[in-house]
Amino acid sequence: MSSPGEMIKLKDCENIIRKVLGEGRIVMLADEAKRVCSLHMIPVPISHTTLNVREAVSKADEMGYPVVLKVISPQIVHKSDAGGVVLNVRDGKELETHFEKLIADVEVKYPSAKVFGILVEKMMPPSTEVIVGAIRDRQFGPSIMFGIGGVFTEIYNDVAFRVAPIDRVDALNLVHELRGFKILEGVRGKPPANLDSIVSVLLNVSSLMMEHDSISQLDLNPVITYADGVCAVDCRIVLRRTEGDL
Amino acid sequence: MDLDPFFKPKSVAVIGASREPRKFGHVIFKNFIESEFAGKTYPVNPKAEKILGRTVYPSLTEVPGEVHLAVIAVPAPIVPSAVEECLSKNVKAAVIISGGFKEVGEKGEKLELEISKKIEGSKLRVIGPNCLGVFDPLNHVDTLFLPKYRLRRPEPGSIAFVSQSGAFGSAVLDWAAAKDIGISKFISIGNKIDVDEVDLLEYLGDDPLTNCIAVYVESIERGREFLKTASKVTGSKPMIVLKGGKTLEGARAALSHTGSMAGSAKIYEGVIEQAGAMQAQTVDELFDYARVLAYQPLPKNEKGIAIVTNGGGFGVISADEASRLGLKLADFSPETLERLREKLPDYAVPHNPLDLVGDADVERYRFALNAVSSDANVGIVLVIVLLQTSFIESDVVDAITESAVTYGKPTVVCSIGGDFTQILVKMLEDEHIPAYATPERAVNAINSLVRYRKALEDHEKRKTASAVKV
Repeated sequence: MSSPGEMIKLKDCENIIRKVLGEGRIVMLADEAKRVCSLHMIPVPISHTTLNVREAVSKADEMGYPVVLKVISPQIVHKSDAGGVVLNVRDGKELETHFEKLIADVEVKYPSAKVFGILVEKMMPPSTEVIVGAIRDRQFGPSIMFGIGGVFTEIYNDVAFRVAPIDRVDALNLVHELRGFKILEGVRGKPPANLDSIVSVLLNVSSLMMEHDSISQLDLNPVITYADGVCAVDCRIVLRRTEGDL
Repeated sequence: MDLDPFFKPKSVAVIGASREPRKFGHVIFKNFIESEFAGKTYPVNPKAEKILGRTVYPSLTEVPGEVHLAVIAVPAPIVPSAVEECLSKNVKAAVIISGGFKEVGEKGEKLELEISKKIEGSKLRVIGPNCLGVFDPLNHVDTLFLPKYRLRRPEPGSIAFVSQSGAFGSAVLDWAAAKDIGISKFISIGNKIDVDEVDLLEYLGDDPLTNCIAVYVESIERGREFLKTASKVTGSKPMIVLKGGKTLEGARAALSHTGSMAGSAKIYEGVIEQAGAMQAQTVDELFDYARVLAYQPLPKNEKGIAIVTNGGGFGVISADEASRLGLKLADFSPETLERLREKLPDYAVPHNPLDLVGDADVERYRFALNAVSSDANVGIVLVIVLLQTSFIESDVVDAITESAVTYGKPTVVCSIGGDFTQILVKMLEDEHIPAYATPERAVNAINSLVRYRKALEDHEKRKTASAVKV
């Protein structure tokens, strides 16, 4: 059933999972989670992780500005809350300043934190945001969540679930089930979101959960939607050590 | 797996049959011997010789013939030995009515475990404990320990009803009987030591007497099997689920955002949708949907609803609710409009909702129902009839039934009122035309038909997709 490419993909992901668990961690670093998502055909922004500021600038020059900088450290799980993220870095000069400052700040605020690198990532233009998530439910097993970003999720709890594995019909119904669905059709002059791409992400997250038993929770929050595709700009993957854990 | 012995036993033993009229064992035994139950009924009780004139057997093993179904109504600590007797007598099915198990704590849980171990690997199937068991009006199987003068039993019908809660189940049965809503089978599953909702869905899915399955559950242990079985069942018959215990419990240790959003209620909601079943939010909705789904045809096309009323306000409220639910009202064809204009009085505007006005009589209803039902743009008919006016007599029921049967379009009624209205509502229910006390409920019932049709379309899409893959 699985093609050679498919097998390599699964093996790569399992290797990342084994490495993370081997290092005594259960939360993947941002670059690890991105890699797993990208191997599963979930679109993520181009990025590069380094501790070398000159390398960072040269990579950012290649990908084009603005970029985002994120601290990669196992001790800093909630990057934004910890001040480990800088958005909208507009040129190489700004990058240099923020890069050094990020590292210095971490040293002051989290002296015991080990910084693996700074993730330099192409910043995606703003648009309608959605959330795709997955958990393992005690009764129903791997389940996929979909919600519309921002106030719809936070205040109205406008999210819906399906049990994995899901098919195209499930994915489309899941998207239509949200009260805020109209937002995706485009309001106030915004172009409609590309539903096919959203459906693909949902299907890919479903197979990711089915294929990797050690993944317990996953957040793609937000996934930015465009007329011609989507991009998961923040990926978070939580592992479980044994099958009994959720 | 075959649950037939629960519903069509050739012989029943009531373990714990009692002389004391208020005891469960007495009521259950009486249910069997005073009904048209075709099989043999054996009372079992070591302390009695005769109950209601019948010879009592001191133990199950002393019963002379074969026993298909055992109803166990003895105190919890004695239940394991009763189950033991069932096993040695080769009983096929047992209903354990007794309470005092998992629901009361650790001691009861141990007893349950003891029973589970005994039946493991055996052919004995068990419903309960802590339940009402089974009611099958056609086969006169009735293990409900509530006397008939307290809890009326519904007539045979096409709706199967599975309830985890006995109290909820019995109250609903009594209410259904009063409303002339027929039941194919009722099963109260209690602590689900063996037979659970998944087994019953499987069985009821194949039951030719059941058109529609209504389920009340508080917990589903075999989640993935439930989804699989329910998805299969909804391909051939509609299913409605009322899930008790909706509070946002157990949002798990939130290492992820998704984890913190995943209250079990949200996942249950998703599962019910995914299975192609209908979710009822309230007790009313459970049977509002069951009645229409069991007895009315599905709308054949994407055509809209025609609303016919003798009260303008109710027409407006119905139209509002339809719009809120995203349901379409039909545009009457020019021919229909012409017919209506010709025949209706000048003060009745031919428009949907069609207000026949307060002085509408049965003939005007008959004419209007024929006109709109024959319109190809109309897929569903909602008849609102207020019986407080003196122009309308009970033969309005015939007019509604006739047009429903003639045109084969799903028809529901909204009628609000007191005693006189209730008589007509019952007449409609007998004709399998569901009637609702408010326009909102009627429109939501229509919505359940539309949503079930969509679920069937999804089933078709999946079939096509998997055919393409092969």
